[in-house]
Amino acid sequence: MRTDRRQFLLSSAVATGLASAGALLASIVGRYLYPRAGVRRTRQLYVAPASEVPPGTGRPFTLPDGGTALIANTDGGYAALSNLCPHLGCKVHWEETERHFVCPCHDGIFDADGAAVSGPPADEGQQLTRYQVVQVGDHLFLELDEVVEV
Amino acid sequence: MTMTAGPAVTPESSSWATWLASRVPIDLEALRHFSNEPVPNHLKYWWWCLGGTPALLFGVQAVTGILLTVYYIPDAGSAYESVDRLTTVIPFGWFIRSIHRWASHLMIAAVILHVMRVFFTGAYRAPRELNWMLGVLLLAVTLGFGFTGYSLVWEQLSYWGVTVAANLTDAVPVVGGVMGRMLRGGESVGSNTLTRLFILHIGVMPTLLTLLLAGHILLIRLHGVTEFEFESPDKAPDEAARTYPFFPHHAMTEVIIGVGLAFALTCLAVIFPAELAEKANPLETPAHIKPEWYFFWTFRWLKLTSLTFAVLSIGFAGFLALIWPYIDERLRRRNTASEASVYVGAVAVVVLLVLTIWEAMASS
Repeated sequence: MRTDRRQFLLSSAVATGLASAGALLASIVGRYLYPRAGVRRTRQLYVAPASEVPPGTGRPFTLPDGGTALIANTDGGYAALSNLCPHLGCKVHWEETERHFVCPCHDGIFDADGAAVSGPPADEGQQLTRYQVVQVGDHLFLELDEVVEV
Repeated sequence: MTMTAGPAVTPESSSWATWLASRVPIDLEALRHFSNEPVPNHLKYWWWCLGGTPALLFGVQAVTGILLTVYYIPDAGSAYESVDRLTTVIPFGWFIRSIHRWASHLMIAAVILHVMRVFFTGAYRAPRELNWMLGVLLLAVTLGFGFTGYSLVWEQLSYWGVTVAANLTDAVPVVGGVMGRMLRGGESVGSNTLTRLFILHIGVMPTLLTLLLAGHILLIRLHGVTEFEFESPDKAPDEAARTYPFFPHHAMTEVIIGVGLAFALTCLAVIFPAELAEKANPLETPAHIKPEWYFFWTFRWLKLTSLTFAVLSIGFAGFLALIWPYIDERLRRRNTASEASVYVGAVAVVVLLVLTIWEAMASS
């Protein structure tokens, strides 16, 4: 079947118009569905009196928002670890007898310094996120870098 | 099929039939011919009828799902409480929820068995490749139904299942970040996520499944059900000897299967009613957590391999399953007697079974 020039131009114009309308509609729907970008902010979170973490020790603390973090007082000063598994986002828990963190989702294990020692996080060379700890007088604060919804 | 011949209204037709035929001018005779598909004799046995079973169960899910929606509240602050109220306060709420839950398990099992039957009998081969692809997509949507369904309860498994799924999505190359954010509906799993899962479960997926199912059934009707070679080695010359009519014989088989399913669902719902675990707690992952049985294999795979490899390998396996008819065709072009598909299928089934049983036996 031969298509004459007029027919070809008409078909092309209709196809281009429909494709443009479809793309416009898709971009509107995509923009509507895609969540707004959050805002990155840093805040300080009170954890505990410094006297509760003597040099050479470490212990988990319940944060005011209900989460937990392990605070350690090492030679290099205070350090805190997030309890969020870097593999797929489950919460790790501290096992005192084994002195390590365990992620119950995919059996990831992290040592007291937060380095993955077995399971999928170790395969990826991951480690628990470290928070910066700020000491003000006898009080320890975590410096959290977070993204919040707007 | 020709639908232009006009309605088949005889002088004896009642006045309402005449009225209807003039308002809906369909050639009923042609419609009757199209819908009354000749069915191969092997379908007289119910175990070859697994294809119709998921469709029947989808009907059960649609009805019970609509009923559950009357009381369910898709909000992170109220979802769990609404399911609790539905289960413990609303008359027969526990029963409807239990039927919905058990039907989902049976539907997934039936689709898996149906896919296996089609695969191992080679029923996906030309000219039915497209229908196989529709079937694989139907399996994916059915699994999606299962995932979004148990996520809506907003118990611990729901929350952590969604968290893992969203982070898994993030790991998909190129588009993962956008898709993960779309699923979460924000920075973290919460109310926005639940609303999206709810819409997927009650709106997007039912529409998708209905369209895929319609296409699947249409192609079955156009190509006919595959006749097995072992059934008639010296094929009877006329179709009538090898088949029987859909109405009323096969329709009756489906009705009997439906009654059997209704009985099984009622027993399961009464003996093992759907329970409610601990409410979602974003601050603590339970020490022992597992997804539903149909995701055990992925859960175990994620424990055995690195995240990137797990995501890529699962995606690649799904893609291979989708285009398998064309791979098989290539193999059979070299060797027409090649039964490589049987070996590949057997290995796949063994691997999936081992991973599933391994995870089922694991203590945590």
